[in-house]
Amino acid sequence: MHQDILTDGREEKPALFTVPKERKTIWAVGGGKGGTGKSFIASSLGILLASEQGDVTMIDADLGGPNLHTLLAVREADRDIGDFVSGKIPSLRETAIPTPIAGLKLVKGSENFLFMANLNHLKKLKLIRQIKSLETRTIIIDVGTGSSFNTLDFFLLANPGILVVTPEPTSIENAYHFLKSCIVRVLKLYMEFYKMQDLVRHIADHMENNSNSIRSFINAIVSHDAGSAHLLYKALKVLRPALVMNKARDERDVLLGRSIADVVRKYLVVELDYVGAVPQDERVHDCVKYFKPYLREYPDSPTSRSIREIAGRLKSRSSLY
Amino acid sequence: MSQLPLFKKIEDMDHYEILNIPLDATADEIESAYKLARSAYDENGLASYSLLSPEERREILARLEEAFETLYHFEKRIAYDKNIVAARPEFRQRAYFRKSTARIEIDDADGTHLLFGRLKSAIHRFLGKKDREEPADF
Repeated sequence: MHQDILTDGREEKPALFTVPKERKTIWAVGGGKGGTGKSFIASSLGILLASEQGDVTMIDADLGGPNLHTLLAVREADRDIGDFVSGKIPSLRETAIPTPIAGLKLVKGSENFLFMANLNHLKKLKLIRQIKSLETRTIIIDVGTGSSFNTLDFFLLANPGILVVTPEPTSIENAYHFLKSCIVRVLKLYMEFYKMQDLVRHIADHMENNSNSIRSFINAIVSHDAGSAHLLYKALKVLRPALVMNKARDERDVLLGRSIADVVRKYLVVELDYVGAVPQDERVHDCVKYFKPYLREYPDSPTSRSIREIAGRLKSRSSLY
Repeated sequence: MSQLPLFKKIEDMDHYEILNIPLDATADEIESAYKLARSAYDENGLASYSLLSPEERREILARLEEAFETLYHFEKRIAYDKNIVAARPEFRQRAYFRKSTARIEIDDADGTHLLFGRLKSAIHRFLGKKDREEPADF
């Protein structure tokens, strides 16, 4: 049972949401759909922060198909995250390898995708604890595709989790599915922690489909149980992911991000901070093809400039906590 | 439950919240916000794709029309503002006048400020200096 592991009775909230003792920044990049540029955004943020302040560790937690190493121009690695999960290497810190970028280390994703995708709960919790205790100033996690519990939990341990979408219906549909899964996950963890057993049973029937079910579920709690409503309100208020609109082609795509944030606030009862749009640039593809980090090749392009602006906004967000 | 703003029901949101604009939004800002929201919640709107039921979509579009019709027209907005002022303590009824009407700015100023300004201008004129203090940008 999740509550047996994610709550130990000593914390004031589920263990997943406790803040690391040392002051550090943890960002996680996700969004549900493959091909939206999550790994590109994650690697660019990592390269940028490494050049500004050093001491950055990136973790490829894409349990289905890791490729962050390719974007960081790491061609070979003798260890990866799977070695820690299997117990071959005792600590996550020892699996971090240097990259061609000064100040940036990488915990490479595992090629053993069947093993990693079915990561059991105990091992995942051990991994989460090790991530929180890594001795590094900044951690950036690429959480990969899908909305499985494993993916969601890596996204939720960050502050903020960064949702990457592209201006296409498929991407937006998957992003909403991902967000709804995050909300249900957070609510369930809190309800289990605070032993709201009736609500836990209720949520399973109530919140699986459209936005209306989420709002009506929340409204029902507000009407009937003000105490529980306050607790769940706190949980959702802290969730507050950031949104990046990637591959934007025009002003309409830029504004689309703002509209999505408005829709999410009204219908999914969470705040979504729109931190900016990244213009489409065909040269990104060429850089990936030739193992060259884009941000280094074209530091003054509109795409690179927008990533710097986004990083600035994310840093302001992180400093609030 | 007004102390939990995130949990506020859509039907309980006021026109400003529906259009996602500040209380002192100008007419241009209201129009831009309306157009953006309209395109978001329209049947073909990408921003709401896959998330809203047909009923939710009809409801929000009707609310947007009502909000725009009310706030975009001066007299309707004044009447509406009077009604919601009690529910929005942060409300500044005159905020949007200040940018457009010098007369109301003067009415708002307290007596001390007016007297001091007049004395200062008189001294400047007496000394033959040009009064560099231009009126606020209305």
